[in-house]
Amino acid sequence: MNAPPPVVYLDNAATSWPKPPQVADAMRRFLTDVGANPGRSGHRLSVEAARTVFRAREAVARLVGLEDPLRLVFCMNATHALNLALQGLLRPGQHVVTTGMEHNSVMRPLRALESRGIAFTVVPCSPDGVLDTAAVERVLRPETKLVVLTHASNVVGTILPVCEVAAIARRHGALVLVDAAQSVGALPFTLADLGADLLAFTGHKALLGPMGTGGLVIGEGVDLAHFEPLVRGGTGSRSESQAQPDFLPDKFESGTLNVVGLAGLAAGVEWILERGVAGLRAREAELTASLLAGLGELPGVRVYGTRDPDRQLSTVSFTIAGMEPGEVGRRLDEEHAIAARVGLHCSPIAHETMGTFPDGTVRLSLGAFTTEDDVACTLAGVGALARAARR
Amino acid sequence: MSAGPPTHTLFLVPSANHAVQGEAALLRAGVRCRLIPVPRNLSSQCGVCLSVSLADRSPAAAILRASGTVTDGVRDVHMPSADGAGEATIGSAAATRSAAATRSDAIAGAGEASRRADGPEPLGPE
Repeated sequence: MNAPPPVVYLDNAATSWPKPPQVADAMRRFLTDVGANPGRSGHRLSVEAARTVFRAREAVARLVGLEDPLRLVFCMNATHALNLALQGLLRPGQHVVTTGMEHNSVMRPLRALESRGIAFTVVPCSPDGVLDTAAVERVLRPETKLVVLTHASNVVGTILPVCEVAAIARRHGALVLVDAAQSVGALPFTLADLGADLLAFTGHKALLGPMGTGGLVIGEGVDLAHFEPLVRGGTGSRSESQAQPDFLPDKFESGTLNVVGLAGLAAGVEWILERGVAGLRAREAELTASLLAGLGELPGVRVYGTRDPDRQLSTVSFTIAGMEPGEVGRRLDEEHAIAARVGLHCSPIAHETMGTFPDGTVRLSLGAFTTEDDVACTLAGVGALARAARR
Repeated sequence: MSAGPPTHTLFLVPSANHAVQGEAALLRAGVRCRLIPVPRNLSSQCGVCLSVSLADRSPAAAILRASGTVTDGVRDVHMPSADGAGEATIGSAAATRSAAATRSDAIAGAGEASRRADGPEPLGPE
């Protein structure tokens, strides 16, 4: 491992840090030893670049139990992947169901699609982010094409019942798109476990890869003939034709990929696979339990969400009575060297659900390299600010 | 491709993604293979195809099928000089790294030469 970071970094839900050293090593190796464009030429460096991409594809596929790695389309991030699915699959006259805990990476595309004649219904969640699956079934319509929901809230970490929702959606002939930005690499699951048709993920959070990587996993039940790409162009394949390739992943991967990023992503995912997601999850759940228990004992501190480490990720939101979240975040950073994220976390609808809109909360998100000392320092820092707020 | 009796079998694939998927499957099964540019007389694509020795034609086809690798066609060709060169082995990766190290040295050397051309090195402490 590198030298310990000079700050207590609890902003892993925004992006994980630090990364395993193998990530930077793999990226440096690609830039210095390979560097060519995959799929565009037949020389050995181009082929090696294609192998680099495939290694990342195989690693992520293994992590999510995807048999055919070519059903994984690389994108810039989860937002890109969600936009690809939403804009590529939906047509005017169709209906979408979503939840009251979504990120703007879902809500903003849905708002834009609404203006093009695609209706959507938001199923409310309880203030701690829990979704009632019966409520999902009640709003499904014959024209409902898709149910899109987050696997776990980026604000309070609450895990949504994706399996149950997928079973309901299947009975009604709707596809299920899961926003797994927070959960891939953080929770042990496969695409089959979830019963989902599409899974959007990012590479730079719990997968421990660099920014600029992510993707969309496309299940067998998705009709590619009615799934339009966001971008068309050069793929290195079918070059004799001016028509976009109709096969995966090329249909959705026009333009040169972020291969240096994917080299790092492969290293990050392989690091996780060596250790096992379940073990990493168990360790983070223990630390989350300590953090939740400690925060719960601090006078003036209110913790949101389920407050149950088994029902949430290692993402914890809180407020301090008498001190705005923005001030809490600033003072945690300046006085205690703790990196947290404050505000609305790009999820205004989730904060409306929680009753914390428009002020927001302070979010602490643990990661693979968070230590018990980090949690202890954070509890001391939050405790000091809570005492200051009461004076 | 030159005239003569077939020496190798080429598996044409839709893209480089399929090529490396097939290569991984063949290597896992112990079948030697190479990725080479698609010969112009076979396709106008700018991609690569999988090459195996003619003797490995049948097992390779079965392995590719079993791995789910999509192929666009199979051609037997005469490639007398192809044996060994550029095969996907650990040895070839090492050769690539060695070449890269030489390249890095050359880049570092060029930087050094450039600094010297700009003028004398600043004097450091004695």
